Amino acid sequence: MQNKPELFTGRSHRMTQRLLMLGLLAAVAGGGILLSLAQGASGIPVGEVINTLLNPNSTSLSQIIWNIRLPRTLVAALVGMNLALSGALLQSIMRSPLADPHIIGVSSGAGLVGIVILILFPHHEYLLTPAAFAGAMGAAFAIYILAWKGGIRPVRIILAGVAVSAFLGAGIAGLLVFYSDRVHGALMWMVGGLSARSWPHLYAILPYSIAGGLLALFSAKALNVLELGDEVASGLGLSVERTRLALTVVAALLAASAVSVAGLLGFVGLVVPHSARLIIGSDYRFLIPASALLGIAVITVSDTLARTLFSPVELPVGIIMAFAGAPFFLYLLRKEP
Amino acid sequence: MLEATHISLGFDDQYLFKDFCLTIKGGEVLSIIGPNGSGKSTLLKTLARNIKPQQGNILLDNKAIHSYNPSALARLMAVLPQSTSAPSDLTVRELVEYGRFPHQHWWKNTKREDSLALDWAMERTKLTSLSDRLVSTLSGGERQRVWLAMALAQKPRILLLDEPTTYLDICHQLEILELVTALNNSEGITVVMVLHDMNHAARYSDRIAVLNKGSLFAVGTPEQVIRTDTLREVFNVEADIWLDSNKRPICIPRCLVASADQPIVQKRG
Repeated sequence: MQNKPELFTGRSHRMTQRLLMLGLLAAVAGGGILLSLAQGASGIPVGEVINTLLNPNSTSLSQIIWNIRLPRTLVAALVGMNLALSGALLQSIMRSPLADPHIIGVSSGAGLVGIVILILFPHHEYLLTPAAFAGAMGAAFAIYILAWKGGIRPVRIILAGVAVSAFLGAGIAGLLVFYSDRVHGALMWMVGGLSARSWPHLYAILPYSIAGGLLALFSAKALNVLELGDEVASGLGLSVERTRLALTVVAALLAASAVSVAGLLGFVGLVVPHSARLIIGSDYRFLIPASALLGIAVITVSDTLARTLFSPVELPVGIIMAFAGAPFFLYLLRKEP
Repeated sequence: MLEATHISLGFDDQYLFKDFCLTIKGGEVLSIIGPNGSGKSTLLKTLARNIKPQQGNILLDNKAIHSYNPSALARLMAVLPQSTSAPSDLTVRELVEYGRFPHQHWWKNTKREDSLALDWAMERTKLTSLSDRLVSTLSGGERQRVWLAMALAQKPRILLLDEPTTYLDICHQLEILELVTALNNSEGITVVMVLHDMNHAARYSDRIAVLNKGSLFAVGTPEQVIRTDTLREVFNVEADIWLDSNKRPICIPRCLVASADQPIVQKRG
């Protein structure tokens, strides 16, 4: 990043710069994944990790990597990617820098349903992921319907989102107060954690990551046009309403799949897309992949810290992320020319 | 040819337009003038398909614009709204390139066509030397030219401009108006624009439509329309009108019409 405002910027120069930056982010994301595989209750050298990944065998080391660390790391990566992509989409379609998966009710919907399961039906905990997913989508759908008035205006969605989230939040708080003896499990769910996440969770989130990621990439051009404002966008032949609805659905699915396996991770969806924008610019053709990669990097590194920092006690990853990420974000904000 | 046929349009049961008709001929420059709240911008937005009339239709080549495919319409008609904003890290060329959006499809390679249209639009608006500048660092006049270039890159037959000269100084106002009329002359692009300045409308238009409270008060050549009684009845001002060196009417408002029953504040909507 440079501090002086760029008055003149060569076209090809900008392109190379952005591609390089994407490469760098990809390297950081890959590094985060390797780090997460190597670090834990027992440290494993990175060379060993790669070797075991390429040639699985029956040693305990291979067991640890293949049955514990690899699925957890991959779940972490996809959760980070989905939340970041969801936030990036929402910031554009809602035309608001404060839009994140929380604003469309995904977090509060998943939160309430998750808490209900964890507190009232603890022996049905296996239902947590699908039920939270349904709760997230239900809340998002309710907000969209409530905000509808002969068309959709982003401001109304945001306001309806705030109201519905407050409503559901009251439900969560009420349950926590009434059943204060069972709060612990619920608390972990509220901050978001990845402990004991394994292959089934990965299979639950993977389809949404693939479909949502591809759809987000394909809509990059439409998102760019949407950045010019509704009137200009529709003058350029974009069906603004339809695009907004379709992309809200994609964003909701991405976020719902993430919170349903990891709980209410609040930080990634808001801050990662902003950071990516400060790093790579506002062109969505680059911003989409950059957000995805940065989301992966942030969450895998945070989860590694969450597991190792106070070992054997494991912190919820959401706490680490907010502690390390918020200052970093503020730093980027100050540095912005 | 663009036509508004019997359109009615309103908010909360109160009609702004009722049974409104206006025909815009192919290849002309038509300015829409009228006092605040007379429905100028609303009319332009309706012509641009940004507002759907409750009754009646906007016809383009005798076909309702709401039945056009959005991209197909954007290839025929470009719109420049009154206020525009773009991400701060966008260069001139990148912004103008968005004008090619309705021409691009993922299954089609349009690179050659795109760069031809882009170069043409940048050259006509004299932006070639500013190509790699960030739009956010440009002056108001340059920025308006960039947005005009984006509209031109669409290669439209019709250009709709909503107060394209607002916030510009007199030199840059004329620059935009001359650019637009030159495009009309050389390329035959039909121009429909909302203007505040009557003298600009008289100087640069083939015809002027005067709106008053949602109805068409008059439409015709500048000499037919810019008259003392128009100014008195529609704008509530007394004015002196002469012909300038190009035989176009020019008006200087003298004072408000002196009558007690005419409220000075116009009711909106």
